[in-house]
Amino acid sequence: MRRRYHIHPPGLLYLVVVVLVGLAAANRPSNLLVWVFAAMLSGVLLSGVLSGQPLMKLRALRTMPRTGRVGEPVIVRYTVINESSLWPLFALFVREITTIPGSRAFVQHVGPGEQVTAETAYWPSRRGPMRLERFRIETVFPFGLVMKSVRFDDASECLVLPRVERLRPGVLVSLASGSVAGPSTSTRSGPGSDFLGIREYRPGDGLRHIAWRRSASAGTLAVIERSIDAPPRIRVALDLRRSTDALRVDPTGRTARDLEEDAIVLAASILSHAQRDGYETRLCVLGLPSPSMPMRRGHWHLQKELAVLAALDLDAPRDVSAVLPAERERATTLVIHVDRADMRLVTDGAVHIGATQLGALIAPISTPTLAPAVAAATPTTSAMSASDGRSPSPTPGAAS
Amino acid sequence: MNVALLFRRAVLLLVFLSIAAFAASERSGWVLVIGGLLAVAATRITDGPRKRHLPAWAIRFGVFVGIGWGAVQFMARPSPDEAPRIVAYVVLGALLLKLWDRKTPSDWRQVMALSIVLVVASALASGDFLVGVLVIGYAVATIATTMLYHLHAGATRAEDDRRAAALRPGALAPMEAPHGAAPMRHLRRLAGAGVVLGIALSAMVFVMFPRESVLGGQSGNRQSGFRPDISLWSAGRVSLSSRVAMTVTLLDPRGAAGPLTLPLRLRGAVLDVYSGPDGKWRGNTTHAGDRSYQTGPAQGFQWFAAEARLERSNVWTQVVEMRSLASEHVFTAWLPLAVASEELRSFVLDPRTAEITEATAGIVGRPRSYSIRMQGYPSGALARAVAGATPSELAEFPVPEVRVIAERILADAGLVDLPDEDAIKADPQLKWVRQRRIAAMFQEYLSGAKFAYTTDLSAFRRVEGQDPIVLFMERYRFGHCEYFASAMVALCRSIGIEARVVTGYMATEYDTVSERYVIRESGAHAWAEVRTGEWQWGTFDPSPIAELLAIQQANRTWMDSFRWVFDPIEFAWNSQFASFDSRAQAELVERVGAGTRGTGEWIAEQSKELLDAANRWFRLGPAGALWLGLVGVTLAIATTAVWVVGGRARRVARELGAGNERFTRRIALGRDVAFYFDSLDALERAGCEKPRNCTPRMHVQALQRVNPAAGLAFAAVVDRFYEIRYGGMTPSRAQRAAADALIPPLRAALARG
Repeated sequence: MRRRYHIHPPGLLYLVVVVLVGLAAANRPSNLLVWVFAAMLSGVLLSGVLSGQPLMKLRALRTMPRTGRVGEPVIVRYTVINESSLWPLFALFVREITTIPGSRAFVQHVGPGEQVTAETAYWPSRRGPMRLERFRIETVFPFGLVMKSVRFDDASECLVLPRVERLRPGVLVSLASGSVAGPSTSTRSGPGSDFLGIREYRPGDGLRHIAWRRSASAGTLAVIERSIDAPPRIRVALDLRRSTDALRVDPTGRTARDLEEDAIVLAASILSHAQRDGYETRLCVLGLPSPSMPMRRGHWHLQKELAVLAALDLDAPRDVSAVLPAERERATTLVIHVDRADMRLVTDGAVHIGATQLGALIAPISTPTLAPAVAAATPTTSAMSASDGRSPSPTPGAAS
Repeated sequence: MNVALLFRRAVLLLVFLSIAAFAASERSGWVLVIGGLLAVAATRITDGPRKRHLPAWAIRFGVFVGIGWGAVQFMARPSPDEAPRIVAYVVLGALLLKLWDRKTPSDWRQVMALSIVLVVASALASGDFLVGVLVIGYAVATIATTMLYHLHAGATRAEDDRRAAALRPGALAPMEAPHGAAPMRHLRRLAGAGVVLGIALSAMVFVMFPRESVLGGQSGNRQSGFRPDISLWSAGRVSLSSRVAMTVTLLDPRGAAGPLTLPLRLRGAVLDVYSGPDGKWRGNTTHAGDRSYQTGPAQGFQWFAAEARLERSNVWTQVVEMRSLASEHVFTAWLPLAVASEELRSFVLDPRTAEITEATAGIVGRPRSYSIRMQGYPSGALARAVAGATPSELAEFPVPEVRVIAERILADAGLVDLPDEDAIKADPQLKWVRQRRIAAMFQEYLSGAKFAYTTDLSAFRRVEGQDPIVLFMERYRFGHCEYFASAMVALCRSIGIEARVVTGYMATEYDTVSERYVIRESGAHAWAEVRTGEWQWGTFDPSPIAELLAIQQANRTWMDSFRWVFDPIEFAWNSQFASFDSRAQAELVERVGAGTRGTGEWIAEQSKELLDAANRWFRLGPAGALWLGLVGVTLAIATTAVWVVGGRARRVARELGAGNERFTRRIALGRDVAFYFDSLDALERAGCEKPRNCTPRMHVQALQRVNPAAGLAFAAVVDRFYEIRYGGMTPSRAQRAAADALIPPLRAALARG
């Protein structure tokens, strides 16, 4: 913790005025003017004392979420504790000493011995770990003449997940249709519609499920058992085997690194939509080290997949010889390439998509208004999509 | 607490106080009424439900018009004295316009800044009591208002930040506002502390402020009341205040109080040195022959000469009670013979001019009352006895053009039977007759219809290379008493007649109930004294008395009947504050030094007496002081020990949450876990302080993230601490020593970083 006094432009202006009044008081025989000068001068001292001293008894903690998302606010909360038993604190601004665009948290009042929580939003512009090293609490209270600040060194990290775009309606269905990923029957019993077998009656079974004819012939109650509907499955393979330098640059002007990021965003968007539509998903990243993921469904599984995408280090060396493992379960394989489609990666039955197709796949609706700083920092792909107006052409086996 | 509402009210109060201060400095009720009404109306309308306001361009246009008006006014009267007043009017206009503007934090800041400038301009223009009270009230209100401003502006900015940062509505929850009575109570406490500290600091700076010259309460050209010098170029409007400066009881030789048929002129300062280029009259600064007289309770009159004490005929007594005026000048109607006061004062008589001033050392403030014995028409012998020296010769008037005017007036007047040079040589007394007749002729000339009396000198413009007295007599022919008296003295001295300007008060209002003259500030006056004998000076007043009285009478208001309520306070203000000068500063420093020395000596004496009394009481004999000293040292050690132990017990209660446990248990616990407290101190010194709401284990984890070695060392400390605090372990001496041994590795790890 380190307290500092800062030069403050209004304070400088005030000092100039004080000097002028002092000169006037020295040259003009009026004790009232001398007193005005004295009062103004004491204001400077008071400004430093009245809030500078209580700041020494200030403690603060930062609480931030484990994950955030590009283009969405990461809410960071600060707990400000006033350990002074006498002096209250007023008008405190909490500001991160980072370059991440965000607002300041404001605390209007912290009484002696009290703690107050304030919050603010930060707008991560890129995926990956967002590290906040230190923050400072500053105030110009009570007179706005001297700015006092206290710096706190408290490192915390938040994993920023890649941006998830809203895909056009039906894109996922059309991608999965014609492949081997359609709904199928499971071998597990459950509230499905397909016949699985007949078993003996157990207490609790409904009358509707009793197989009356079989029961009549056997003389004991038998129940029809039905199978659970197996969800459709989709495997998203992100092809990052080629290094950034080896990629072919997009003629529209986007850099190779942008295309790689687009591929990641496309993978994240497809995974998110697939999960929302009830698919079981699995993510495979080729070319970069990443954990092996099972074929699962659910929020936590999606978070794990997005975390894998968020943690991808595109500067790491690539494994050019990586191959896509054979899928043991029935599933659509969706291969996302950064620039060119490598048809040898999957022999058949796979859908190949290029990163440049991102603009065509996302829904052409107006995106919510971004914060100015974020809007300036991240060129929106939705605008590109809306301008070209092309419909997606996810032909199996064809790459753009 | 509704900060926005409180802040708006506080700003309105500030604006109103600043307008009132300016109105008081201008002595204009209309400024207060119109300005106050406009301010209230603006606040009501702009903060009303519809929030109507003027467009920004209209406000800017109005401000530019005001600045233009101010520039024109200044060009018309380019006087440094007039500039603050013009600036104040421009600022007042801008302030009232700004109140009609939309109110963002920046606008509020501008309103507050304008009101501060208005107050400073008011303080520049006037040092009156009322202005002072309003300025001090303004300063106090500013402390609270500025605090509210920063709360309000901070909250507004924070809301704006949040609005700009939120991608969609609801991304951030609404900002939590402080609620309940505590924030307001804390704010009041802080503002109160600010006011107390601010006043203390202001007083220190005020006392220490370097003062090269004697400071007066009045400043600028707001001429009102007595002035010990005259500046004829400071043309402006003379404000006629009806504030009571003092009361005078006039007792005739038989001791009966009563009024005179003629106005009573009270001499204050005698000005006999004229500086032509800057048009200023001042008194002679050589005080070689001055005589000092001490007065005090039951000391009676201090006579200025032995002959004066024996004088029995026509000796009048004048009793002066100061009301709002605090001045070093003593006011006397005629030739003073003696002075008396119930206060311990020192009065100095300038025998050359019979001018009395108060110059008491060691007292800050001016005399509240004094009495003067005096004689209206003193004989030459008595005047000589009081003067006690040869009369000084006054230099010829330094402006040659005046002599031409004087000779022309003399020629036009056609005085007959005027003693000529030969007659004067034959009878030197005829010289005084000649001088008296010529002075009377000049007086008649100036008080004639050619000259007009006015208090508005705004049209009296400066002309380069021209003397203001010549301009008065030849060009403008209007002015107030100072111009008339100056012209009279200039005319006399230009042809060799010794004359001088006297400033003081003219008393015309007599209160028959209390049997005393009521002297108001508007009665301040200047006239001329012409030498009419070797030791005598005659009073000649060229100002048209009828017009003077009419103006004074017209200036009375019903409020004057209530002035007695705060006149004493005003006297204290003028006496203690407005007249605080370099002399008073030096005296205060001397008194503080003497007081400090006196206090030290008093403490030493009291300690010795106490020691002796204790020695006598306990009958400890000659070595009693030694024994008592030992007892004192023991008591000091015991007190320190109790303090230290109590501190440890408090820390145990605070850090370990053991407030409910017995005191002895807390002491024991404090001894057993002293190593833990040492480790906490080491962490705090290294900048890794354990937060109060964090358990030791959690802090170990946090520490391990930034400094694994220190985290490991602290983990060992915490393990031992848990065993003692929660595991029921009572450590032996060896175990305590072993626990203490855990601290150096922690310190070393923290030092390594």
